[in-house]
Amino acid sequence: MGILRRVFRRKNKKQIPRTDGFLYRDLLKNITNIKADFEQNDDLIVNSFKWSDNQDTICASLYIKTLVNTETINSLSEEISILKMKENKSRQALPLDVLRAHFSGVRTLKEGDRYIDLYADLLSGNTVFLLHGSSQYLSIPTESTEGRSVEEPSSQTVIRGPKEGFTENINQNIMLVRKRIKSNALSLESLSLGNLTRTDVGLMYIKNIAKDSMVREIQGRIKRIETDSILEGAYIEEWIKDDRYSIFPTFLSSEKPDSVAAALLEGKVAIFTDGTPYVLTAPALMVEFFHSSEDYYHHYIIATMMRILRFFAFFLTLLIPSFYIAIATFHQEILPTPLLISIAAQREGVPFPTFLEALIMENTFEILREAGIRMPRAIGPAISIVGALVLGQAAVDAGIISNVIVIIVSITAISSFAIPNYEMSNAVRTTRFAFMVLAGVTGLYGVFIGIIILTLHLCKLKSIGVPYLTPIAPWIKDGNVDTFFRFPFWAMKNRPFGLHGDDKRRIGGEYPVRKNKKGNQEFR
Amino acid sequence: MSETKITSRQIISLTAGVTTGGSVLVIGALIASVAKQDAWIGSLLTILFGIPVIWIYLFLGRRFPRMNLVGMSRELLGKWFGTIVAGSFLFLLLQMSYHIPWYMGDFMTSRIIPETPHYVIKALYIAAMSIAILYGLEALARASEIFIMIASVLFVFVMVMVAPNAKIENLQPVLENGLIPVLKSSAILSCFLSFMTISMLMIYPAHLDDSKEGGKSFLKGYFLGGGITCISILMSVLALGWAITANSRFPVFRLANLINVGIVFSRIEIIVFVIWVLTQFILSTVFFYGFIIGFSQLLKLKDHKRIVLPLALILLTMSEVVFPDVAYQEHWIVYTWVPYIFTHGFVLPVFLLVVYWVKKRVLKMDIGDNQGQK
Amino acid sequence: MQDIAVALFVAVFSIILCLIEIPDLSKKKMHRELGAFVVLVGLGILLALLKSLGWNIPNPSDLIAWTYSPVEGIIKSLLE
Repeated sequence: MGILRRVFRRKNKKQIPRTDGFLYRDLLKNITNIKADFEQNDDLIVNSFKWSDNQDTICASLYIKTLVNTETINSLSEEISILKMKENKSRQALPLDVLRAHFSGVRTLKEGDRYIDLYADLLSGNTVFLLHGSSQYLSIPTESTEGRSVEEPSSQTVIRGPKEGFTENINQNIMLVRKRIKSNALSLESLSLGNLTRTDVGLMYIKNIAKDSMVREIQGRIKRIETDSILEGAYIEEWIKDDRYSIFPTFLSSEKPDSVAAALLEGKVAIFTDGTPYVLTAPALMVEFFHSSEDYYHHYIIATMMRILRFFAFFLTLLIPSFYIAIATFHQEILPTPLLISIAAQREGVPFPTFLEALIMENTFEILREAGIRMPRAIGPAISIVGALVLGQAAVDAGIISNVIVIIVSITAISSFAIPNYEMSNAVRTTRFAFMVLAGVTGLYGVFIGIIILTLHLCKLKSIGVPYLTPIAPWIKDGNVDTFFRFPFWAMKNRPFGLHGDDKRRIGGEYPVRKNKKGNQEFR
Repeated sequence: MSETKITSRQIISLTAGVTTGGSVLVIGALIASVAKQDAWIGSLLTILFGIPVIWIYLFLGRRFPRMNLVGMSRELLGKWFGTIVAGSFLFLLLQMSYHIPWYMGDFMTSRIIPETPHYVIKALYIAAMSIAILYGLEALARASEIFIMIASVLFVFVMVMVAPNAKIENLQPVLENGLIPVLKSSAILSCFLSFMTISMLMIYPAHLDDSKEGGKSFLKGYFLGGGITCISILMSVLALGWAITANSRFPVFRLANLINVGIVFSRIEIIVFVIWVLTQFILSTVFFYGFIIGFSQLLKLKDHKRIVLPLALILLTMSEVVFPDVAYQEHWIVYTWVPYIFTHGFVLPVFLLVVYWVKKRVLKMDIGDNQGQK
Repeated sequence: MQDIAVALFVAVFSIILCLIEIPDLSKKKMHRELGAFVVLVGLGILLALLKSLGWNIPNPSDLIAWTYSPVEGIIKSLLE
């Protein structure tokens, strides 16, 4: 074993120095090294050219064909040929200084002298210039920004409110948020994560509004991630979650720039990940998973009503199947007699016990839902026919399942879709199976114990150190202006308690509408 | 002493849970059989009599703001005697933490789901208790806030629904037999109401930042819990009359049976059951937590969570053994529990108080850890 | 019947618990915890086993009842 390990270590050692080392002065040596490192990459383009006809200074420009924007490259080469012509006349300065002087005003210019930085630049789509006799390189961004354009979000649709959604491009996403908060206090910290993927991650917050300790905490956690790949924001979430075993999401993922901007204004931190149209905001509290950005664009009474409906839907999704099982199996006496009789009449001839019946149907619904997401769009109508007619109608007619359970499953299904956040909805739908088992074993008692355990669990959860149920437990005085209710904006005086930094106040001054004592003379 | 800190609002809910949990469903019968129609006066007096008792607890707590009762008794009574006293107190806590699952099993199998084996009921309950403790005191305290909120709302709802059945004649004649039976009843009720809060001394000063503010919350929680019990007794007597109240095992449950407003609200007992389970849960978990904390303190364990699950197994078996039948339980709870909790909830703190005074005033010893006070 | 099922449950649960906790506790050198843990698990299994075999487990309630039997008269007078 020891020998093997030594062999491997030596092998590793051999590879490291070149990528870790500094550039040589010799251009040819540099290019051979780079080419050797990019051995199997046919899309690496190396152009060497003479700087001037008389001088023997050789330059090389390197880029990766598939990463760069061809138009930018074309215009760059044009610029360089113009420069070369000028230079041929004057013949004074060193080519590197000329390039630097020329480009530094126009483009973002980067310099470096290490292989590892050079590779990082090359791989993020920059064009790199190398010069014979210099151990420095220059890199000019030429990356192609192709990708989806800004579209309407697919998972968070609204009726009123902005319809822009994030895309896979991190810069575009940041732009979308910056456009909404035009303040120099809006800070962005860039990191790159994943040893292999080198994914760009942006940490955005508003200075003074976000709590400094919170920002440091998130930053520290993200920096401590050691992994080879980050392909989606969910990777980060799973790495830095407070309670890694919990099924409940403790980061709010959003597809809408306006809700991210709103979260930033409450003192939260947004985590942008390149390659994903979802932006995470933290700390996220339980109640926020039942908020929609649209709540703030409607009248506050309507918004409050919708919120309460959503919480109601949450309880329905969680408890309706288990209540049905418990009542139909153990506590028939709770039901009023007429209802009891009608349920009993429908259950006549059904070969399964209630628990099994409910389990089968709830699973069927889950399968339908899952199939509906994964299947090609064109088969959509077929699924609904199978779901509604075959599984619903025909199964009831055949007497395999009762009508009641179809109603119960439909209520669960519809309520679960009324929860605006998909992850929360998933968590709730999964938890409900545990409740069904409890109800099948000990009836309502089991359901109550389940509720107690669930409450304890939710109370235990934390999101970046903030208790998950915050304005409710621990109860915060005046903290419930934006939880179950949506108070009007002029009543939300402060930012949410415990999340914000120094800047606490949200509004200032008085209500802008003043009573005119005289009244309007024209209308009377 | 401890890193876990809870807010003083959570002290309110925990105390209210402890005060209510032991008494709300069961005790009405006993009180009504002693004080007859004046049971409600007895329960009001109990709350009053409880204040000096709570004051003693708070006094002790404020003198030792970073200790729990085990630490206090060891500090005041010396290592050996203090450990014995603390051990005896911890035994009471352990007793209580398997009594409650027994009640739960008994109640469920006799009232709600007779066909389910009571082991399953107890096992589920004990599982919930252990999870609460494994999640830590903070989670329990936060959850208790929610539980008390729900329980109070439901309680008000039930009481409002029962109100039309109340007959003022059931309270008359007031003080027919003089004050003596009333005082007797309040002495008994104290054993289920005021003295129960001794278990909070395992939490109260040590896990709080501000023991003064926490003391106020302690009292508030006591009043809230006492108020709930008092109103439930009053309403039982008002609506059922003292004779029926005295003869039923679960008077409040019986009370809810009276409610019949339309089809929707015809079966309201389930709500009473919810109130009972929630408050009972707080009570039993506080007792169990107190035991585990104290026990690991005596054994000098660093991590008290390690012994939770083995203890849960013991609770499961012991909850089956503890009362062979209902008759035994009813006899035990009156003739043994009353003096038992009296010794630990009243005699023990008074004794500690006297020792404190003697040591401080007479012997002029430097006692109490005042550096923790702000 | 029930008692036997419970005893089995307790035994299986304790074995799983031991398999998880004992290596962890001994790795972290928490000897006191380890001792307390083993004794308590042993006690738990013993109690469940005795119960399932139909033996009389000494009931702590009896002990306390015996301790407080002298004051029973006072309580009786309270109840009058």
